[in-house]
Amino acid sequence: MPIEIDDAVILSKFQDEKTRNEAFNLLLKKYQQKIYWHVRRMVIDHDDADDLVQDVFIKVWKNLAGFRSDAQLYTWMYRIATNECITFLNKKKAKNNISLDDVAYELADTLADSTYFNGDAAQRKLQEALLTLPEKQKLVFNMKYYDDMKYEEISEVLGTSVGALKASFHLAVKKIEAHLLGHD
Amino acid sequence: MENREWLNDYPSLKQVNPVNPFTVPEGYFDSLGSRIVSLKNLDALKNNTPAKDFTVPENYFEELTNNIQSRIAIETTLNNEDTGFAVPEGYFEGLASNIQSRIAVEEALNTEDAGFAVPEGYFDGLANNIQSRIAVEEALNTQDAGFGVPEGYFDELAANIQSRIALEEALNTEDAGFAIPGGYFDELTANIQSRIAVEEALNTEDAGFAIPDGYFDELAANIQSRLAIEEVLNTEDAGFAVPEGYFDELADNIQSRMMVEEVMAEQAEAFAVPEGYFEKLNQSILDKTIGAQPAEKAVKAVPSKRRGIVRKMYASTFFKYATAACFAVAIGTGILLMQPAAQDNSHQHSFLHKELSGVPIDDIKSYLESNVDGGETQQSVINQGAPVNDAQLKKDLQNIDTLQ
Repeated sequence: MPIEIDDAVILSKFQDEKTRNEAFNLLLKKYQQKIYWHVRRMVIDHDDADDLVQDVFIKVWKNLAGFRSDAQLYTWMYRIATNECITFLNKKKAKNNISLDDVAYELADTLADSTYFNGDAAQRKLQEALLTLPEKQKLVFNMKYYDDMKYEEISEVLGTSVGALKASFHLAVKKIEAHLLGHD
Repeated sequence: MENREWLNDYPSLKQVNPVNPFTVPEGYFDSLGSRIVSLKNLDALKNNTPAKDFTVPENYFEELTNNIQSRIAIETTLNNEDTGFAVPEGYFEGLASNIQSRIAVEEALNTEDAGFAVPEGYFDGLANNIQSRIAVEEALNTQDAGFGVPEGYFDELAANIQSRIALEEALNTEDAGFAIPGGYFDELTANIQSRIAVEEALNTEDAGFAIPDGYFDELAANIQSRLAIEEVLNTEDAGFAVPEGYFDELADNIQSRMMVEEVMAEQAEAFAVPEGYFEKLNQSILDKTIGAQPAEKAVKAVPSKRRGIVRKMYASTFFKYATAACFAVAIGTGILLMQPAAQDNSHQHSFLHKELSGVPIDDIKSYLESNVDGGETQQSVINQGAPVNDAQLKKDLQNIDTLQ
């Protein structure tokens, strides 16, 4: 179970040079699983997700001193993780010189071969449907479907208006429903 | 759950289990935090270390390529020349013949060394020549030194050294501080024997030498006083001066003084008083002064209230002069014995001197010969250092005993 420590306490400890490491450890224990699953659902592969989670928290360590408390800490961290995932996927496209659809197919193969997937056929089909969505729709759907985040929170993560997010979400759900119905 | 109401519009999606289908390796999240911290520390080290600790000269990397290329070119050149020592062209081809010709030349030079000849018998006389040469050079060096000696110096040198040794030995002996008068050892035996004889005579009372009673009791004091007198006499520096010829006349003066005292003693004995005079004298005086008072009354009387009449006991003129003469003799003798150095010749003009001057010298001599005791004679003989005639001394002593 993640440790539920108030973000204000963590930020306060991080401002003090003597307790900065302690604050970072508390931050890790509270948010490491949320960030990991957010990344894992984006990149599918566990090892890629592991690398990206480490990079995300390195960036959090480097930039937490400049964090402004006008936003929530976890939305700020989700934003960093999202950017890392998008950057990673873009590099993968550029490296393999493939299109976004090809990336979706590759991720589908990864999902099929992954040993760390314990879902049933419906869940697998859902993941395959998600791989067909644009990244932003996929992000909105994941944060809404798996993390039960509000549009306002998703708006802080993605930097998009709530209206645009709602539209993206509905589009994503329609596509998934169609995918589920179509392949059945 | 409100957020989940939208699923009602999508029945296919609603049938899908919303649980996360993805899994992670066992214990993944347990180690994730520590791995991230390690990575964070490593990243911080990687970002900070190179910029701070390792620096390169300015434009190092810009010039690195050219430097490497030039270094390669230099090493290539060095490797081609091998050792770097160049030899003339065709050197090694002609080297063997050059060495052989050099050997032949040196052999010829060694052969010529055998052609140096010396005069016949040169080496036979060489030793003598060298020795004579050394002698000549030594002589030359000696003359050059400029040190000359008188003629016949070395002939007399041994005798001079021996005499010098003898002289220094004598000087060293004197330096020891033990010097003796001339002829000391010649007279030593006789002196020892005489000393032994004297001491034997002094120590043996059985030998017939008699000494006055208490002689030895006073001997130490006498010797000390004699030593004191002699020390005073020997030390002119002590500041005590005596008239010229004082000590020459001292013995005579003492003897004459003693004779005077004897005369005075005889004169004192010449005044006789009736028998029992002094026993009665006191009572007689009391009778005359206190009168007929009863003895008991006289005893009980208070002396402070009654004054006795003092009368002169001896009122004759002769008695006055005799008493004065006795006091004068006693005081003069004391002064003479205690302070002989301060004595002068003024006593010769005193009353005693005038009185004694009338006594004939023959009478004084006869008196002394008949009245000087044995102890005084023996002491004067010893003190004067004259040889002791034991037989004569014993005879004199017997005569004295007989007289006594």
